[in-house]
Amino acid sequence: MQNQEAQPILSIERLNVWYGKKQILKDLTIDIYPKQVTAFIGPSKCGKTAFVRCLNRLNDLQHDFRYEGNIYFNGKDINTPKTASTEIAQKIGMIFQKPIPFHRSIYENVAYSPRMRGIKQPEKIGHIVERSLTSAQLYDEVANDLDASPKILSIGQQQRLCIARALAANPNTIIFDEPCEQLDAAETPKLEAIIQNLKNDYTIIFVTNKRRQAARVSDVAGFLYNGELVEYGQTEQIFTNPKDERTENYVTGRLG
Amino acid sequence: MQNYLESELKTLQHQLLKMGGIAENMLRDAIQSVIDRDADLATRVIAIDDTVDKLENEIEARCIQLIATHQPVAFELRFLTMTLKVNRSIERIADKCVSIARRSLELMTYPPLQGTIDLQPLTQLIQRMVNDAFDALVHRNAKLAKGLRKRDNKVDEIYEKMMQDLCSILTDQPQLIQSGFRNLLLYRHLERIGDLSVNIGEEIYYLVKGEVIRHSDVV
Repeated sequence: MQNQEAQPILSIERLNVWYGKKQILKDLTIDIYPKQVTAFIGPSKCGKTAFVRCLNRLNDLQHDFRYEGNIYFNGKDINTPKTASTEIAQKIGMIFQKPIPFHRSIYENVAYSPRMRGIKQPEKIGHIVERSLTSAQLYDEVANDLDASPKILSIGQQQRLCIARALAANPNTIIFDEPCEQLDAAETPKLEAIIQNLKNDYTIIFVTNKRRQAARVSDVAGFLYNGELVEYGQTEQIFTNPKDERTENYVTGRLG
Repeated sequence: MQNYLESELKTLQHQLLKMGGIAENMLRDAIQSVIDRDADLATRVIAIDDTVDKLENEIEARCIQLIATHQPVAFELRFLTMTLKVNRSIERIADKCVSIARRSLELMTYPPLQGTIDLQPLTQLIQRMVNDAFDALVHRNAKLAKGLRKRDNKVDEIYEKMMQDLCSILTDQPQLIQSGFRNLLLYRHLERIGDLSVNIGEEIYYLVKGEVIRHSDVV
């Protein structure tokens, strides 16, 4: 699936997921390749969020979560006891629907992760903060307010702050789980532009229920329906010539 | 339940086929005017071209409007791009029919060629190809659409033979150069209509299969 020469960064093999008795994902097998945007589309409750939460072990916190199958991240099984969930969380960042900045200054939000990693030199931290805020296209807007609370920021700016915070953790993969849900019309294109820039350096996994957004932003797209990966292919193919009738019905708006 | 865009696409297909039907009649009449040396028929063909031009503009405007307002994807997107291109091809077929009608009027001012070249094999083949192109659209028949490419080889073969025959006639009777030259143009117009029906077939193949076969080898 594009980048044919590259090794997949994530390999998911026969993943089945249950929340209690309800099966959420059915026999998902998929390879995700680095440095491109892979979108997962589908109607609500189709299993998109449950799927990406498996990738960085956020489901561990769900008490009735149960799974079968394997997920390999850079060739390493992420679900073995040997793999610390914190290590996975550091390498696979996540941006949620609703931005949740920490109750500390803008600067400290971004500095949090480098400090946790044991970086002490203020200059080094300052550099990471500036670079992360710049990549999140927020630096120019907050350069004079770094000590202020994130509360002064708009929702869109808060979302970009969360992106900067995720970048400061030095991940190689970032999952965006419907990141534009709370954003207004002016902020959405900004976020889409950030994602387009980030894909040069990061693997981006992008969950959305906005079909057109997936078409604009992603290189590769997977269509999930009732917990099943119905179709996975180049975004251009999915949106011009889908192979499965269910995909056709979804992308044209007849389904979901 | 049919959504708004689906019903709009049906209307567009109806308009496209209506325009195709007019072009088919123009082709039939233009050829007949040559055979019968019928000036009235040729003039009618020329006059009807305005209707086709208007329809072309209407269809194009509607496609652009639907693309802008609905941002179609998948089949709907393929349908609209197909319509834009087939629309243009039909309009060009109609233009070629006008050219045939003009040549027909000109030829009437000269005596018929001696050692006549039979037009029928070419005209019959071309008319069937145009008809099948529209049938392929109605029935979403990718095989019929793609097959037009192969049939066009036969058109080229007949066209080549007609040119050679014409050359022989004009070599023997150089005084016929005026009408000979117009005959040559006439064959050329017909041959181009064959190409345009192939273009239509390629767009219909894309609509049905989502695969571009333009500029690929004919197998």
